[in-house]
Amino acid sequence: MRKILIVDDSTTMRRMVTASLRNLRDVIFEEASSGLDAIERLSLNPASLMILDLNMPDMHGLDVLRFVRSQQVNHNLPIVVLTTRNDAASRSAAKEAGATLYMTKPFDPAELLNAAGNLLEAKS
Amino acid sequence: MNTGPGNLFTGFLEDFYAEGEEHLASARRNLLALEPLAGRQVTGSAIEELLRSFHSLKGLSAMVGVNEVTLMAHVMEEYLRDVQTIRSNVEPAAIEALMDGVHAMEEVIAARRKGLAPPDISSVLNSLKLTAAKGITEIPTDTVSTPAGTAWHFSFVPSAELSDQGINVGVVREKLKEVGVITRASPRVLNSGIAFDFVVSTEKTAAEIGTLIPLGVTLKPAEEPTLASAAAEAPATAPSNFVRVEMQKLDELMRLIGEMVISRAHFDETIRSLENRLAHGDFRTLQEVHARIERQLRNLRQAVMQVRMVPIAHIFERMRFVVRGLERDTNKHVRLEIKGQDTEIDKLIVDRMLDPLLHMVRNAVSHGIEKEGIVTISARTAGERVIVEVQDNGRGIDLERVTAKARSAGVIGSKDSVDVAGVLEVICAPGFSTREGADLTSGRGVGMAVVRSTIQELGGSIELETAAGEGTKFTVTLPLTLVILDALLITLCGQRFAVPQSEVREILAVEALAMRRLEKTNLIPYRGGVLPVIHVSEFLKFNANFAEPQATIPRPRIHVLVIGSEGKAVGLIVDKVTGQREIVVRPISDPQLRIPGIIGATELGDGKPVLIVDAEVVARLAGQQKEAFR
Amino acid sequence: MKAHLAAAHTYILFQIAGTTFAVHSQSVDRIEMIEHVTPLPNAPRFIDGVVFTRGQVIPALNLRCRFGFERIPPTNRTRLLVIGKPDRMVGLIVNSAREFMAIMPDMIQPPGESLSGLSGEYLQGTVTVGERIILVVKLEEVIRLSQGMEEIRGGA
Repeated sequence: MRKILIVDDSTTMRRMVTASLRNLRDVIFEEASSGLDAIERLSLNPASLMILDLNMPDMHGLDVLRFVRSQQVNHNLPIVVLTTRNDAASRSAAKEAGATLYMTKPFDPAELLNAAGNLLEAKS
Repeated sequence: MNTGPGNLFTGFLEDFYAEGEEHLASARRNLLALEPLAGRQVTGSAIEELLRSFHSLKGLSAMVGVNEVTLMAHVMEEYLRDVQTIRSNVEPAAIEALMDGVHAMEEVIAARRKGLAPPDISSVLNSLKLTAAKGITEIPTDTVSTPAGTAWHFSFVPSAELSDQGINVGVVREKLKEVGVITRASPRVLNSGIAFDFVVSTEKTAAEIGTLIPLGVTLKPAEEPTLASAAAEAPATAPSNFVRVEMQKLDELMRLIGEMVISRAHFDETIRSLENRLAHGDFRTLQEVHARIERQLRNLRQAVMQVRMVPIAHIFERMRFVVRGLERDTNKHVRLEIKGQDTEIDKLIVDRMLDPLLHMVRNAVSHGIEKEGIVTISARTAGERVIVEVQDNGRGIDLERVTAKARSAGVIGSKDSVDVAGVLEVICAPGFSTREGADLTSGRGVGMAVVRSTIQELGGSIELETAAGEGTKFTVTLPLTLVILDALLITLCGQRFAVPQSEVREILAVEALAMRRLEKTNLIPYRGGVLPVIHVSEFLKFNANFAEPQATIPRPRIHVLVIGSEGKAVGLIVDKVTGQREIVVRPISDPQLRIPGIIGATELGDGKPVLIVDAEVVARLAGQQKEAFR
Repeated sequence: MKAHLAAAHTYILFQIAGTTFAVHSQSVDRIEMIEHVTPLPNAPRFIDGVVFTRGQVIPALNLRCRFGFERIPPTNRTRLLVIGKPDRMVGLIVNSAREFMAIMPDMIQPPGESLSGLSGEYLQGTVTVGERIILVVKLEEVIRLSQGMEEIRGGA
């Protein structure tokens, strides 16, 4: 069983991501609505994939990303950053902070499903 | 922009509407907070929160394909981001444009919800783009003041054990907010695991703090006084103690309660009919049990009502935007005063009252006020009712103008005139006002006739007071209790009735010639067998000497409502079935008057009561009547 | 309307078949024009039907009928007296109700034998003002429905 952690402060967005990934086999979903929440959940239960929104109230997604990467145990965790910003500067900042993949909203569910599937396979 | 999410996300439209409304409400609040004339403390986080609201709206709307919102949110977000970068505040003209944008988004969502074409947003979009293009003059923001008190450091190390007890970082943060103002919150890596550090400023003593913090949190005073480096902690996006419920689920609850109300009435009838067949003691016991159930059902209904109650502020606050828009359109200066916005009322009523309220406020500004004035909207509870008032201090209704308009519209005779007592009737008469074209601020030209019928359908009423030179006041009385049913509308003896849809299994139209008589029973062919049918009109005895409703005229086809389950089904013959509607059940106000077979009455928008017939009871009693005369 | 008169002893006067009746104003919530009466089947004889007023559905009792007179078609002087008690609301259909009069308790004489046809149980007494004889109504009895209900139960 592989756990996918979905981090976004919008309930609707979390549901839409979950709906897109429903067809993946052997996965369970966990949701976090804030950066601190996500960090805590990861520390208590390791995940196989994290989908991370950047725009969150308590801690900006990039800071969450950096912190998570700084933990030894999360060095290889596939992290997909999902955000509305589409400019080159944001992209490279995210990559530098440690994002495995950078996707923009609105996202194509097929693309997300595909990417998630590949990342999960690569890890196993 | 829309990369084709396809059909997958259209199922999320309802979620989008619900969450979108929350974001728009938050945006409204923050925009109002930014107004220099608002007289409120500008929080540094208002712009931050606005950015987040528009950012979320942009993303969500793009996913579900509501592109008008996406376009506007994009421009608004970009603009605010620039403002934030330059560390400026938002100038009044820009606030206007942003408010227009929020209003336009609301209109788009409202239209989409009803399945109508969204209004044209090009002018709003243009003015937003112009605002963004104009550049930003630096306006100093209010400095965020240092929170008072001493700074304390708290650490929290999450663990599986604590999590099992319900203690996690979200809960810890909520508790710390009760202690004081959180000025910093950050995670830290430990040798094994992580910890969260919080810095909180508070004037509370160590002892007090000790009682507030949960298990797992350690504290120590800071070594040196820590200045508030960042703005006060932004509030969590959603309080943890709330559940978001779809309105549909609450409607379903009310519908189920409506059905229980009918069952209880059946139960009551059945008990009464047993009076002569039971020992007196047993009969009393049954009555007591029934009385208890009646009480419990009423409590249940109240409780569900409570869940559906929302503060009327929902629609009152929207009037601020409306008034602002009207001020510009009419070139007047109007101050809007709001009172009693915490008054709670059923969400369904609030939703349906938006358009009537819009219309009354628009009337007040457009017709009531000349150049300058005050419009007051207020709400208060009075027993089982809520009283909403819309008042202006303008010139009052011009009776001569109304008379002239009424004459030319044919509402009154050419020799008649309108006085204060009759003016409400006249302006609510169909045909008095013409439909105006839709635009963003007109409330779609809803005439007073529709305002009144909307209010009456909700079980409420409207009154009007006006005096020349003093102003005009609309008083709307609304009920707190609503029971809603799906009903079939039928005609019987020439009169309209409503029948709860849940009681009717099928509706048949049969050739009259197909009806056969066997002894004293009428039968029609039904599903390979026969169905006994009863003329409901035989059971309904209207008072003699009264304006007699037409007796049943023999018709070539008969319309039958099939009541009851397999084997025990019965058909009720009615004149015809004219439609199907959701109705509000109004009980007859006199409990001493109990008519078997009549549950109550409803009103379909024309002020005439329509009786609600309990078909199952009628079927049973009519059957018994036949037995009695055998 | 009632404001300027001392409510405690004010009565509303109305006419039925040429006779003047009085009802204590405190029991009367308001006086309305009759809009539309929906006939109520299987109801006591003297109930014309129900009306919709201020969001409530109230039964309309025809007082002419209640007092044993023949019904007459409504005119534009016909009025509905809305009686509001804590647990029930009832409407009374009367022909014209426009007068108010202060009647002190000691002015009311007990109903005598001489009143023909009218059931003594509905009357509190009579008041003589100049040439006029006014019959003061016992509202509770008039609007009591349980007897009426017995009538129809017997039939069904």
